[in-house]
Amino acid sequence: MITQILAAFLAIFTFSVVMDVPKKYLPCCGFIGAAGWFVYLAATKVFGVMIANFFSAASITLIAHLFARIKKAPVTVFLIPGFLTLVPGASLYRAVYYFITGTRSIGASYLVQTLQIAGMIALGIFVVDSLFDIMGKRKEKGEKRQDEKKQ
Amino acid sequence: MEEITDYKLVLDTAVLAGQIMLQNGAEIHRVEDTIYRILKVSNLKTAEAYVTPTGLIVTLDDPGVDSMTVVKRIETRGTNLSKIAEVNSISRQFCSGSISLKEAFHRLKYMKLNSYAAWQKYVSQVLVATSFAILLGGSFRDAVGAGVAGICMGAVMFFCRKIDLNNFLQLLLDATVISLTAFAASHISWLHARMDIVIIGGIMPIVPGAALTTAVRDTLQGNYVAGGAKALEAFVSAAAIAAGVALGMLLTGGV
Repeated sequence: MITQILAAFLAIFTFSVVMDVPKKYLPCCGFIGAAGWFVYLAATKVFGVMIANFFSAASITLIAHLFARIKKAPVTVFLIPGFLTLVPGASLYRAVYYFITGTRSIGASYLVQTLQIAGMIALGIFVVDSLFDIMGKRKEKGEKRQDEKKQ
Repeated sequence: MEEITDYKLVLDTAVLAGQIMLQNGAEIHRVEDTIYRILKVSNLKTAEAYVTPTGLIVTLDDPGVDSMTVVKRIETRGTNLSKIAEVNSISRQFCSGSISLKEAFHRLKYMKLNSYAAWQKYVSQVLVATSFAILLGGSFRDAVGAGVAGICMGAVMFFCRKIDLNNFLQLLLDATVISLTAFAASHISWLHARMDIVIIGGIMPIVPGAALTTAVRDTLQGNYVAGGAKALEAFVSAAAIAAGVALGMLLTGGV
């Protein structure tokens, strides 16, 4: 498991180079990837693959938002590389494999799984994004009220 | 903070910032927000931005001056996150008043093109494939196989960029080559890598993760046009990869 998490760090670190992440943020991106994969591995044993994807996506988005606020950089910089470990490349491949070998029913179930995982990732991003959105709006409202009081 | 009178330059700066962000894969909400913030510095009454993945329209208007509108068509799109970060920091500095309008425009106009050399990217791509093989629970042999697949894919990508091949065919070719390499790697007796791990590790650098993430975020922020376009992009890329893998498998006579 530790080897896998280290591999996740390296994978996201190098993928960030491919995506042109600024050099100073590379370790942060690697950390997000490793943390996301750790959550995924830990949650898979307890809740199964689907929920694990949700939790992992949510934690990746959470850490990405935190890093973005600490480092004053756009969230996108951390979010796009961070998600690579979750993107359902494996189930996409298995779907293709079973379609070709002629077992269509298994292929179809993998295809559905691919879409489900994509949906779960979407849900994970959505939940955490909305939370930060609400917090941002509250902050803006507070600042506006202070401005009005000053005037 | 300086008094701004050159409204045309404000508009140009905003459009340029928006254009760079859009070309490098920022989500629509962020692009509109940045353009809006830059325009607001002019203190004119009306400042509007309408952004889609393929173009943007920006208007600046006030009772005192003639209204100005710029339409900008965006033709090339890629992912370059340092440019997004750079535009973000320039617009922050400009809006807080620590750099002048002219300086902001100049820095946007002459932004550094790439933060990594081409070879660094190719090496990274190979490492992505290798580390994914291990991440998915593969052994050292599988990692070597995936690395070889990554090298072959890098060569194909280099060739595709030379002849400026379109995105769909490029992904299809990449995936085919990965599939062929995986077949070879699994049939070399001393290597004997697992074909599925090699293929999955190999296709990971080209799966449409960025498009998927942006599609979700755009859609949830209410930008359905952009979200739909990005989702379609993700779907088409995934289909190209699937077709490429399938083609490679069929060429090698099955599985």
